Amino acid sequence: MPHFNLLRYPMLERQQKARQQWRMAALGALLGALLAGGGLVWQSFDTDQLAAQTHALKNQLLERQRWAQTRQ
Amino acid sequence: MQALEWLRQKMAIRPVRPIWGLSPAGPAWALLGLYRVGADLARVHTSVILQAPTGPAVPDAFWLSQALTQTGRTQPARRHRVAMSVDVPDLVKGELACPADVPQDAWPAEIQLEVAQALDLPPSEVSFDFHPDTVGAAGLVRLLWAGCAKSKVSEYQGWSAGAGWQLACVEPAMDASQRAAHALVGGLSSLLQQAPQDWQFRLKPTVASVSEADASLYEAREAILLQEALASPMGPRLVAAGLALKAWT
Repeated sequence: MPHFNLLRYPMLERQQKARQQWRMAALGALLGALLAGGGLVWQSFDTDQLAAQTHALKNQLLERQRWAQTRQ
Repeated sequence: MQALEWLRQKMAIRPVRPIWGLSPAGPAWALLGLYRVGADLARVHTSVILQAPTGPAVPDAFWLSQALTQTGRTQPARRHRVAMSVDVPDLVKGELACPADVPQDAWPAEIQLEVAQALDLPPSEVSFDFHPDTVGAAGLVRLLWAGCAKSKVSEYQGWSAGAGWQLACVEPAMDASQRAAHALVGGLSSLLQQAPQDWQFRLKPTVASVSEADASLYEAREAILLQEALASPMGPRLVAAGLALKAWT
């Protein structure tokens, strides 16, 4: 025996669709936030690496300049 | 939620709040609340006939919400859940033979048009539900449908919301009465011999074991008994019980 619920169409159906859309939007926002956070962390790490490399290169340059001065 | 329901079934915990069914009984309304006792049994918690106030005709919207509010106050629940019935002439039912290659997403629109035609209303003004029945030999899907005017459903929602109750379902009265009749402990023949307060319902009713030859006879007898029950003063309460039972079946 079929069990009809006359609330279902179109009312519940519409509510369920709206709820589904909200869930998808929230999931999208969460994923977006996670991606953005991940991107920021990666960028920060990359910047730190570059800063460390720059610092090392500067030290090398200073060392060479000092060595060149002592030879003169 | 399903896990909680399963746990409740296993532990046979009695829910604090009853589930309600509300069915028209002429100018009055039959309100019946069921609560669960054990894994497979529901008993009547409350059974009342809500009478319209005497005097000049008062619309249901004014007094029914008040009556529900008063009944709800005596029960410990934040928000009561109620199912309501709809019957002819407000209700239309039918079936639609739909080609099997029509995608399922398109079924609601097809049914909506059928219901609108049956009620002589614009498609946007109808509420409905449907179930696929069988796939015929000619590749046709038989869709069983029921519908009513959306204004009726909105009216019901307004009454229940006015009392702070949640309308969980609007169902054809005949479907609800059949559910109650199948589940009633003692069968329909015992309906009039018991006070509604003593009615008990099986939540997983067993199908009577009758031979194929006797099946049609048995069904005809049950249908006659159901018609008699519905014509009796207990009819609206039986429908209300079937509506409340839907929450568990």
